[in-house]
Amino acid sequence: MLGLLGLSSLAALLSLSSGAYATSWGQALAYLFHDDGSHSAFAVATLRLPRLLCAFGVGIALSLSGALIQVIVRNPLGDPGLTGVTSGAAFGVALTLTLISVSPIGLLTAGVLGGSLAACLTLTIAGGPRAAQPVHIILAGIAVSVFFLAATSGVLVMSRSSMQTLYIWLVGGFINRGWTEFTLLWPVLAVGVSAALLLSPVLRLLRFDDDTATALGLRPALWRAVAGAVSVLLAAVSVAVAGPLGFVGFVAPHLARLLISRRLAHEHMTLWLGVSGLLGGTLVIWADTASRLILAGRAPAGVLIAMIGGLAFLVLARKELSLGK
Amino acid sequence: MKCTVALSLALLSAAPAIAKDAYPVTVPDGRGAEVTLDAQPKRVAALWNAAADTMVALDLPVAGITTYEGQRPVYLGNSVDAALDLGDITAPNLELLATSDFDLTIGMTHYNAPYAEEIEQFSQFLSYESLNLEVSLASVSSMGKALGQEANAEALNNDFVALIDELKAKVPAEPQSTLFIWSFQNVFYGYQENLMTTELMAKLGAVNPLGRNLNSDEMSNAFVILEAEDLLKHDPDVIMMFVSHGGDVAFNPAYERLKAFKNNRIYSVGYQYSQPSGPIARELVLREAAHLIWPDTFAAPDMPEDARAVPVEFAK
Amino acid sequence: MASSVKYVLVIAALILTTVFSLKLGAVNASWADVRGVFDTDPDAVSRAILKLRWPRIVGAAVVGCYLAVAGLLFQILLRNPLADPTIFGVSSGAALAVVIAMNIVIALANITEGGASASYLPTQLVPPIAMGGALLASFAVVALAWKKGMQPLRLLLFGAVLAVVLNGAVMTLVLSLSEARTELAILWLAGSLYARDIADVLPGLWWGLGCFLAIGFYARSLSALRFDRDTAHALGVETKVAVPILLMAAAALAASAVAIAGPVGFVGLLVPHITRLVFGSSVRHMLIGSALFGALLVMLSDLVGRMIAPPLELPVGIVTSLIGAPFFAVLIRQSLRKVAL
Repeated sequence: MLGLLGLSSLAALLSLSSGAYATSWGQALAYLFHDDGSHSAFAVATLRLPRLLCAFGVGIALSLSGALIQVIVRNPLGDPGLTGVTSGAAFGVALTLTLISVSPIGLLTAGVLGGSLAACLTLTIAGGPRAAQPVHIILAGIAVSVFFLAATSGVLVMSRSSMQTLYIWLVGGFINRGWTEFTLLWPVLAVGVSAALLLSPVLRLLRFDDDTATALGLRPALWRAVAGAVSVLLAAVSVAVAGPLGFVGFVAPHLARLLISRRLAHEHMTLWLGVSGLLGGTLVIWADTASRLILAGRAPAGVLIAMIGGLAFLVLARKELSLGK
Repeated sequence: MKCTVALSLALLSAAPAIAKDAYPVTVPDGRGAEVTLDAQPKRVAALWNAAADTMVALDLPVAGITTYEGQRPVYLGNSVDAALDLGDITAPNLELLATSDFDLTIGMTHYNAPYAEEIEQFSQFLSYESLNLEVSLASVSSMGKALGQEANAEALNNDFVALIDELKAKVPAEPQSTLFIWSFQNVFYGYQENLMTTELMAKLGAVNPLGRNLNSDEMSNAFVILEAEDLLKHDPDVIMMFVSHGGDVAFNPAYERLKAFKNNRIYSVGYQYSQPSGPIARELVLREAAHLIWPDTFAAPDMPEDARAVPVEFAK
Repeated sequence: MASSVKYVLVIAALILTTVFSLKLGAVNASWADVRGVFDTDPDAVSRAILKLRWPRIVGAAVVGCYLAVAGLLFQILLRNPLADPTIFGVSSGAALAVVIAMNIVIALANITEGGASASYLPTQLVPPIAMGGALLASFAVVALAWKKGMQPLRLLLFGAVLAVVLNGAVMTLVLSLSEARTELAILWLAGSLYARDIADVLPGLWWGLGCFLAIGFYARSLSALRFDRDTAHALGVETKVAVPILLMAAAALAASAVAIAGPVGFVGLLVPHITRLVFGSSVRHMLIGSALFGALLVMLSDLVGRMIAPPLELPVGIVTSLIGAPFFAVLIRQSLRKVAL
C-alpha cells in the first residue's frame, strides 16, 4: 500500500512540475499553497493540478468499476466496457456533438446518459434485475456495445462529420481537462466509492454461485443489479470526463489480486477494492504523465494505457486461465 | 475576391479566344501522372475544393462539388450552388460521378487517388495535394492548363505572388506573433510554418511561436498538440482558430491570462483557412489575416459574411 | 414445408435482391438501363450499373456467404452458439495488418521521398495483407489457448481477449496517421464495399472456394463434432486432424471476407441461428442455408446503406451491426428461456 502511495506521489510530482513552464518539485509544491501570481504558479495550481486530480479520480473510478463487474459476472475477464457503458457514452457524445452545439457540461451529461442507457439495455436483455445470469450479461453487453459503436459511426457518417476528430476522443485522454471536469467527477466518485465499500460484504457472497448465495440468505440477482448500477455510474462518469479508456478496469483488480495474494483478496473485499482503486489511479496518472513528458502530448493517455494494458491483459489472462477456471 | 475576378475578366477580354491549338494537352498532376486531354473539359467534377475555387476564379462553371460537414465552400458564396452534390470528399458518390457525364474529375490525392482506377472508368482524373504555397501555385497552374486557361491561371499565380509582396511592403515594423489552431473540443492542433495557412502569415511578417518543422515537409507532421499551458507560454498577440463542428469553444481559465484574450484578438475563422490552396481562398486568407493581425494598416476584404472571421465565443 | 420449397424461396429472394440492387441506388435506373447492361456499348447509367453496382453485389454475396459459413463452423467446433469470426480476432488481425501496412507505406515514402502519390496503400494490396493479418491472429489465438489440445472455452476467451488487444493497437496506429489517412482507415475499418471492383473481390473469392473444398472434405465429420470429443471419436472422427483443419478453414474463410470488405460484424454470429430456425439442424442444410442467408443479409445491408441518404453512404458493416444487434438481443432472450447455456 505504502509503495503504491509512493508511486502515485512520484507520478503526481512529475506531472505537477512538467509542462511549458518548467518548475522544480519544491517549487511546484510551494505553488500549490502559495500563489505568487506568476504564470508558473497559475500553471501548477489551475492547469496541472485539476488534470492530475481528474486522472487519479478516473483511475479509481474505472478500477472499482472493473472490480465490481468481475465480481458480478464471476469472470476474471470482466471489464467496465462489458456493460456496454463505454459505447453508449460514445454514442451520447457523438449524437450531441453532431446534432446540437452544447456546452462542455452538456457534453459530459450526454455521455453519462448514453452510458447509463446502454447499461440499462444490457441488463434488460440479459433478463432483468431478477434473472440476469453472468454469461447473459456478457453477451448482452457485447450486443449493446457493438450496436452503439455502429450507431456512433452511423451518426458521424450521416452528419458528414470528420471521423478523425471523434477518434481522438475515442482513444481517451486528459488533455486540457480542468476544474470543470473535476467538479463533475468528484461527487459521483465519492458516491460510487462509498457505495462500493459499503457493498463489500455482499460482494464477498456474490462470488459463490446463486444457490449457495441464496442459501446464505442473499438475493443474488438483486445485489448484482445494485453493484452493476454502481459500476455503471463510475464507468459512465469516467468516460464522460476522459473518453473511453480501456483496460484500467480490467488490469487494476488483477494486479491488486497479485499484490495482496488471492486468498486475501477473497477474504477481505474492502482491502482488494482499496488496492485496486489506488492501483488504477496510479496507473492512469503515470500514463498521463508519460504521455506529457515522453510523447510531448502527441498521443493522449489512452494510447499508452491501451498498449501497456493490452500486453498486461494478455499476460495476465494467460496466467489467470491456466490457474484453472 | 473581387480583385481576382476583375483581373481575370480583364485578362479574358484581352485574350478572348482560348487558343484552338491548346488541345490536346498533356498535364502532369500532383501525383506525378501525365494525363492527356483531347478537348476542353465542359463538365468538371471538383472533388477538391481548391479545384472548384480555381474554376470560379477562371469564370468556368463547376458541375460537381463535395461538401464539408454538409456545406459547400462557404467562401465561394453562391457561385457553386448549381453544382451537383457528390457527398463528402472522403467518399464521393461514384454512381453520381459515373452518370453525370463529367469530362474531368479533379480530386485530392490523399483521399481520391486510391480510387483513381474506378474514377477513370468514367472520366479523366487529376489529383493534387494541399500542402504549401509552392504546391498551390503548381496545382493552379496545372489545373489552368488542363482547363484551357493556361495564361489566365499563370496570371492568377503571378498576381498572387505580387500581392504578397505588395502587402508585405506595407506591414509595420513591429512583428506580431500569431498562432493558428485547428480545434475540436479540448484538443488543439497548432500549425507550424510549413503549412500554407501559416506560411502565408509568415510571409507577411507574422511570427509563428511554433516555428518551422525541420523533420519533414509532410503535412501530417507540421502541427503540434497544444495544452493550455503552452498557449500561456507562447502568449501570442493574435490567435486564429478553426473550430471544427462549429459551436462554442470550451473556456479554459488560462485564456484570461493571454494578451490575445484581453485584447479580444482571438478569432474563429472560416474553413478556407483549412484548405487555402485555391486562388480565391488563398487571397482571402492573406488579406483577412493581414487585417486581423494589423487592423490599422489593412482593411477587411470583401467576402461572404458567413466566411468571415468572428471573435470567439467562449462557452462557460 | 419441405426443405426444397424453402430453398427455392431463399434463392428467389436472392435473385430478387440482386435485381433490385442493380436497379436501386444513388442514381435512378430504369429497367431498360438494367437490361442495357448486356449491350455491347451500354450508355452511362448501364455502365455505372455494370462497373459500380455489380461488383458490389458480387462482393456482398461473397462476403456474406463466407462470413456466415465461417460463423457456423466456429459455432459447431467451439460448441458455443455465440461464437463469431470477429470475436475470434480474425477481423482485428486483418485490420491491424492493413493499418500497419499503411504506416509502413507512409514511412517508406518519407525515406525514399516518393512524394504524396507513393504514400498510400494501393487497393490491390489490401486483400492479401488483410488475409495475412487475419491468419496470423488466428494462429496467435490457437497458440495462446493451446494446452494439451484445444478446449473450446479457452479458445473463445483468448479470441475475445486478443480481439480487444488488437483493436487497441489499431486505434493507436490510426491516430498516428495524418488526418486524411485516418479517414480512409476508419472507412475501411467500418466494413465497406465502397468503390470495390471485381478485381478486389476475386482474390478473396478464390481463397474462399479453396476453403470450401477443405470443408467439403470434412463435412461428414462436422455432424459428429457437434458432440463432445469422446462421442466424436466413438463415431470414428479423427478429431486431432479434423478440428484444426476445419478451424483454419473457417478462419481463412473469414479472412477472405475481411480482405474484400473489411470487418463486417454480426453476420457470422446471426446467420447460423436464423438458418437453424428455418432449416433445422442437419449439418448439410445448415451449411448451404447459412451460405444463402449470409449472402442475402449482406446484399440487403449494402442496398440499405446505399439507399438511405444519397449521396452519402452508410458502410455495410454499420448496417449489419445495426440490424444484427437487436436480432442478437432477441436470441439471447430466447436462450434465456432454454436455460441450457
